[in-house]
Amino acid sequence: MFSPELKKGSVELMILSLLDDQPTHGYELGKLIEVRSGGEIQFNVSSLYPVLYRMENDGWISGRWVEKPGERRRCYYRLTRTGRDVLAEQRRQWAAYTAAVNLVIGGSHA
Amino acid sequence: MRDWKAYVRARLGLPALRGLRDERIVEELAGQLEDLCRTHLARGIPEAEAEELAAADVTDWDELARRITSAERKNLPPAAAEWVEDRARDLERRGALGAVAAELVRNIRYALRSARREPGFWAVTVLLLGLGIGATTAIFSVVDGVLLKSLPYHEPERLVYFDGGSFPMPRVADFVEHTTSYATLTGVWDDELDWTGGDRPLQLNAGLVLPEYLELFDARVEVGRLFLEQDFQGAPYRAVLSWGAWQRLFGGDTGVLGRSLTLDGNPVQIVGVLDEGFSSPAGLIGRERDVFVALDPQWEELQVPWFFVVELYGRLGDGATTGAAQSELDAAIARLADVHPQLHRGRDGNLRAVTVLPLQTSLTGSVRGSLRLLLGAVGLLLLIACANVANLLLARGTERHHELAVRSAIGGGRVRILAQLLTESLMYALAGGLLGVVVAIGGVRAFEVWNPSGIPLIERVAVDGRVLVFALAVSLLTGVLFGAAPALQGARLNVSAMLKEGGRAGDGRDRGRLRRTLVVVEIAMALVLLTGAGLLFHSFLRLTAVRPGFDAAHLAGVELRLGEDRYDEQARLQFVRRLLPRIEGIPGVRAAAVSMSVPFQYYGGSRSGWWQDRYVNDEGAEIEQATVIQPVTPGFFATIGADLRGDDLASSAPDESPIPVVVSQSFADRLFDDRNPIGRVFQGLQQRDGLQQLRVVGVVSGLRHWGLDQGDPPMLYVSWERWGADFFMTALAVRTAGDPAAILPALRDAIWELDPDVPLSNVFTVSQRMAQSVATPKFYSALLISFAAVALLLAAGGIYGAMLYTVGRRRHELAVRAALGADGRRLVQLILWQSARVTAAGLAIGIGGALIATRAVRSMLFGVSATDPATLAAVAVLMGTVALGASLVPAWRAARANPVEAMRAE
Repeated sequence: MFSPELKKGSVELMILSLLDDQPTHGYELGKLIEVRSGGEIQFNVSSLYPVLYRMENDGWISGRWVEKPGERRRCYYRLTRTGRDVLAEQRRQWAAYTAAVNLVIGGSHA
Repeated sequence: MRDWKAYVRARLGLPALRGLRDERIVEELAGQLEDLCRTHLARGIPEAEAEELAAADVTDWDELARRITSAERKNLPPAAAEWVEDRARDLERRGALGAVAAELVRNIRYALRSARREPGFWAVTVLLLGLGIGATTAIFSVVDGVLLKSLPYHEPERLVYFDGGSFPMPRVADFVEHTTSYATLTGVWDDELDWTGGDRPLQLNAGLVLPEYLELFDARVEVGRLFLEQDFQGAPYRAVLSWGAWQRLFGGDTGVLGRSLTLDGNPVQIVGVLDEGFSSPAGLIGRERDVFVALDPQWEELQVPWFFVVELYGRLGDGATTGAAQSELDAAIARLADVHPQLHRGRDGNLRAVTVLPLQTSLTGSVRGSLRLLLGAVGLLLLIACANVANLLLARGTERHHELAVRSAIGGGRVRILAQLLTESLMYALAGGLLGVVVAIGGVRAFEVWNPSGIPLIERVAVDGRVLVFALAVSLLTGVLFGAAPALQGARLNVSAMLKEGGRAGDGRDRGRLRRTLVVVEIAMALVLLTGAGLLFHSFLRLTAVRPGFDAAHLAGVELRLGEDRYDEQARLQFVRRLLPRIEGIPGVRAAAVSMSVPFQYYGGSRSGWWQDRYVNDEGAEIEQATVIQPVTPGFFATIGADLRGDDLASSAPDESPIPVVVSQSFADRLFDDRNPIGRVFQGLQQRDGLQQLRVVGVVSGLRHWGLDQGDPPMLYVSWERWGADFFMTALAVRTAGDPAAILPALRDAIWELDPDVPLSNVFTVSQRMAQSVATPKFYSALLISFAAVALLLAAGGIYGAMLYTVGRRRHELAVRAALGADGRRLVQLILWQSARVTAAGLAIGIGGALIATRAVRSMLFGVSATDPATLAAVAVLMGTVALGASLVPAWRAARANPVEAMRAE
């Protein structure tokens, strides 16, 4: 398990990346992160939703209620145009940052 | 499975957020926990344990709430809203009733919130409602003050008035003796008395009252005393002053008690002053007397059957009703007619009927119909305003569908949504009502100022508690009325369709139909109002187009009160002979003459004067024709500028026979059919020695002596010197070169130079009298026209909005048509055609309604029928033109439909 501080720095980037693929609801987002990280990164209600709401209020993502046959209504989030720009910028920064950190701590460990 | 929503809601202490985000968040988190729980269950974990595991996903609810609140800070409501929400939650804890109250509190808050979001929409809606409610409230307060409020007397419902004019004293005695329904039956003789001995002679309005008259109307004295039994003995000699006259004439000096006034030359002693609050029935209709004088019912001068002076008032005794009193009176009159036929039968032998009327009805009967008409008109206006607001709400409803859908989805049932929308309507209505009260206060003030003296009891009109309750009731009713249709529409939304489509769709077709129906109703009601206004206006035009038959623009009149106390026939003759040359010597005066009355000195249906009705025409046929005898001095017709054929009445020898007379055309028609009247000799002017021989020397035609609406009544003009000088009614007519108003002071001076004791309270220009005589119809038509103008505007706004909406909704269709080659003109026609159909439906219904509704104005019309086709056609064309005009902008928009839009949407 990673420390909360470590997760905090990257959660927005993960959410934006996942939503870039397809609109998804909150529970699915949590599961996707868990699955893709091989179970290494997990979010619960308390850690995921406040972030989602902040991103929504900042206009990066937007939620819409969708009801599918035989299912409960769920709020599906998708990227907004701003969100797409933010994602591109964050990806660039993340790549540059991790590269720089790797250089510092010794590239062979990367 | 646990109710996760309730679980989350109970733990997550979120503040109320804008756009219902708090509700959404609760639902989303609950959904997450439920999903978790299901995952655990799917792994075979028992339900109770699975629920615990899911719940454990949130360890610190407060921390979560804090973090969400931080993320949502821009959706935080202002502190006030938070406070309201806290109170609502408090209420909710108090059971079912509290929950309802909490719901109401929240609904009010939502409504206020949406008002802040759309201030323009609110302003327009509240303004519309405010004007509608305000106008209605203003007219209601007039109706309330005049027709509904009870009179300011003790047990006013028992007070009655004998409707049958004034009665001679012996007949009054018969009534008193032969009826038992009344605890009190008393009367008053309204007279104008000349008070001399002050600085200037004054004319006082006097009520010569029978015993108990003042007591009947709860009189109390400020100083002195009311009348005692011994005051009612012999000639009138004891007086009580009204408070107003006491202030006005004596500056409130208590020294007036015991003072003697010279009234019509007789000494009358003041014994008391009434208190400020006293108002006799005449006072209630703005004609309070200055002085009340005790009148002895046995006074010998009144014991004649032909002196019609006393008006009767009574208080019904215990258990008596108006109906029973009427039956008793009818029976008494029928019985007494055999004993005193001269009192109880008219000249035609029929019984002189008397109606026992409730006092209030008798005071307000003349305006009852007009006021009801105004109330009806203003009610229609309010309905139109409601339809307009309903239309606005429907139009806006489209934009709010998403919000409503969310609310409905998060557990708000139809009833809750209906309640929310109705709450919102009621808030609009109450705000409109508040504005309406302000409008009403202004309106009532304007009404009082403008009131053309036609409306009695107007002083009692006020925007008071009763009126406020009315305004509140009307506001609530209005709120339900205009809110119902949009609310029902809102509650019928198809939620899932709405959510899927992002809140753009709706039952557009339905909504469009409802809006068009509202517009049809608006047009119909506006047309009814327009027709009423049109009829009154048409009637007013007809009335003012009537030619008076004399030159009113250069005519002044003076009522000369040459009372019996100081003037006999000879004195009057001398006075007039000296007066006329003096008047004609005033610079700017062209001519002067004396008559019994000047045209328009009396108007409004009363023809004061000397009446005679027995004539024998030139062929010996006896003809009964009620005719006013008008004594005039030579030159009268030239002075007033009348259209005279034949000769004027020259100064004639006192014994000339046949007596030369001038007749009105209508009189000539009645007596001589189509024979030339000039030179014909006939009999009339009944004297003690029988009918006199009369010879027609001239005919005057089209002279409207008593008002423009009074036609050309039969009149007979005779020499004033021979027939008028012995009568106290005298008036001076003066023809001027310029504005007659300018010489009024000079007229007064000239008269007072001859006799400083002649009271001159009635010096006037005839054109001003003429304007007053049409002031009432002008008032009603102006008021109705202003209502109708507003109605027209509202209806135009309604059709504009509906057409704009239609164009918006059909934008895609229009674009496709444009893409397929329809040119702009074709598209304009399309929209105008739809507008025309709506308008035509409105007009058809409106004309039907108008034909029924205009019956209410029938009695107020002059020279126009209530179903006047010209008026109906004119207002229908006006309404139609305005409606089509209002559709032009939407149609023009349609014409600019862009074909590219059609592609884009595909």
